[in-house]
Amino acid sequence: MATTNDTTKAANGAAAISVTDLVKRYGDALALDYLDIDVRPGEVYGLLGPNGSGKTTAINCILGLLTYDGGQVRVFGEEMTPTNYALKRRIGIVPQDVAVFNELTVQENIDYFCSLYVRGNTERKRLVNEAIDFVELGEFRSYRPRRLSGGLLRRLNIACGIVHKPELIFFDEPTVAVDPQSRNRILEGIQELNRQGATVLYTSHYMEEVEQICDRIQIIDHGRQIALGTAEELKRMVDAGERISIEAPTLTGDEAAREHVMQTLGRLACVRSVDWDDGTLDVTCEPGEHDLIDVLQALRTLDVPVGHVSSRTPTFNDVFLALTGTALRDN
Amino acid sequence: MWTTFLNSLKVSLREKSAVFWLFCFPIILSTMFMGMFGNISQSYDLLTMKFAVVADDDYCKADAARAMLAAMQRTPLETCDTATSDDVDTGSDGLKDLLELTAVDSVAEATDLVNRDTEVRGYLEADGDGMLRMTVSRNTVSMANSPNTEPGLSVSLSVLDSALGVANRQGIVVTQLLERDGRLVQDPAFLASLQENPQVTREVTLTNFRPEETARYYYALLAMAALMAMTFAVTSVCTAQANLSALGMRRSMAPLAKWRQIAGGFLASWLCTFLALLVALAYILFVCKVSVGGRYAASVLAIAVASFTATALGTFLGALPKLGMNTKVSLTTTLSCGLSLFSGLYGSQAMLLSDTIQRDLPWLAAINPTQQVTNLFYDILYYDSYAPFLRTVGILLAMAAIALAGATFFLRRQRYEHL
Repeated sequence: MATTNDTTKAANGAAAISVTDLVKRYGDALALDYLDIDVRPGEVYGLLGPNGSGKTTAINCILGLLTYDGGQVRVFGEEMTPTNYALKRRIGIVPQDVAVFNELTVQENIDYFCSLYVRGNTERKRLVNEAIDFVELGEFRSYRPRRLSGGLLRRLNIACGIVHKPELIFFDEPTVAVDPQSRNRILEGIQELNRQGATVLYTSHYMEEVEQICDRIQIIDHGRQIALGTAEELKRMVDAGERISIEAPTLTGDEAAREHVMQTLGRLACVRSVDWDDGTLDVTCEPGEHDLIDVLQALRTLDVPVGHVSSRTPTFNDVFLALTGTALRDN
Repeated sequence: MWTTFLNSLKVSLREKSAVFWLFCFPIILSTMFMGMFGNISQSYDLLTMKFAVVADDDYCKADAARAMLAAMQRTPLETCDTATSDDVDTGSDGLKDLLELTAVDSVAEATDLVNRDTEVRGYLEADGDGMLRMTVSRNTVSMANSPNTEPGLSVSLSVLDSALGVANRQGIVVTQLLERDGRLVQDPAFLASLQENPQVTREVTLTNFRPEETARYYYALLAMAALMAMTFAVTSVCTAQANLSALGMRRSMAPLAKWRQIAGGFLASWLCTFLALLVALAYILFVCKVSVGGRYAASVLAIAVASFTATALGTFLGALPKLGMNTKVSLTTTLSCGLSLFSGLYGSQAMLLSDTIQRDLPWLAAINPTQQVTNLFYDILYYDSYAPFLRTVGILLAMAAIALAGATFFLRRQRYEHL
């Protein structure tokens, strides 16, 4: 973790976003605790954290919507101030809540937000049409938002944020409450924007999304950085091994035999722990390539008949929970 | 700023609840007022009443009585083989249409006619001394006691009764004078005095326009509508504030000065409020027939000032920190309805309260925007000079200036407000 962080700090000169030692307090509560964020131009950067971890506060500090008590924020090497209009032109935001006018049609909404950035009518018309095509809302141009489904609304929200072709786009949980098809389309769209050259700062609660589209992921909690790296680096970081479930019906009524089997398996080098759960052996292994073979070989040696067998490699969700804990955060 | 102005205009005019409350509600309330107050003003209007007149010998001999009745009816009545003059001066043009007489031969016939035709209010007869007597049907008495049934009937009967009383008294006096001194019949001065019509009472207009008791309610309604229209500005400011809405956050991130966005929204809100009040004013003037004494230009100016002040106050409310948008909209409704109580909107007791406050606590009236908007139209209607109107305009513009200064203060502070 330290190595990756140092690497990104060294690249500050070229950073799309450079946040150093950011401190933000709400009264006595410390929302951001000397947080560092470095987003390289052209990458999709995932910012993850449980509710209340400081993600939104960090983003709002970066956008200049909040003052902060310490540290330094630079966007494309410049200080973000409310009147730095040149810098604002290079930024697009897609907030978590759908931020459109319910009284305007799809086209009018996109056109209005475009008009805040682009003066010329011809140029604006072109950009609006491109944005509508990009999010595939062509047949809904004249619809008002209340007639759109959740997925279409999210796409409108995105179109309003990207219509002026920003270089840096903030996506704050853009796929909340949308169906899998729309979610997939949105993620493809973000990747397409990235391919077109946009730098993306992405926050989400859906770990598989972050794993799918982000080049690097930063996990924060209690306003502090917990981990930073690619999805694979983070998985290695938590050292999460394979989980094997094996049905062993003959052990159900024979407690002595079951105890013997569990002790034998527990002595294997690759096994961390063995649990018994209603006719099934749950075996947690160290990371390794032949864990399943070793466990099954041991059971054959013990002459234990085996039923259904399943093996699950660690997910990014396991990584997130391992790093941030499993306690509920909204309480 | 121009696109923000156009956008805000579209948003405001497409917001159904705003359109209903700010454009339709004043019209609905005005219509209700018209229904409620229409009877009040009509109850002072004189009706043409159908009466039977018993054209017997006594009546034919009562020349003075016949002449007086002739003066109060639209169509001359041919009776007693002598055409009565219909150009007798009663001293008032208003009594020319008071009666529509039907001649009958006897009281019995008159009674029968009254019983048959409910539109015939009663009958008139003369006695041997030439005195006129009026008999009114039971149905007419009942209707006169219920003003909502036929407004104006009661006052019309009273006028007729008074006129008959005056004529009878005058007849008695003349008869007694002639009994004492028969030579008076040949005295030209005495005869001339009998035909004189002394102007005991005359109508004098002290104000710019004839006062209309009910007009103040319509003015107070316009004031409430103006204050309710603060919603336009409240919504406009809230949707530009990053700490109040995601929309505000997105707009705050745009490369457009915040004051330009606020100013665009302000102008659109002002225009919407002006249009809403203009529609209400037009309805009140031309449908409800409430007068502004012909001072239409001043009325439109009053609307412009009232809407400007309302927009400024709405901007101030919208800029208040630590309150959500829904709270601010609720506050707008509460304020407009609450302050309207003190400008007399809710009936005669409220009007009394308004008058008391204006008389005894003028400073309190001065800081009540609904009272001042009401006063704008009151000043237009009742004062010859425009000075009171301009003073009220000054008060409202001062209120607007204070509100805008407060809004600017809060909006500048909230540039970095907690989200």
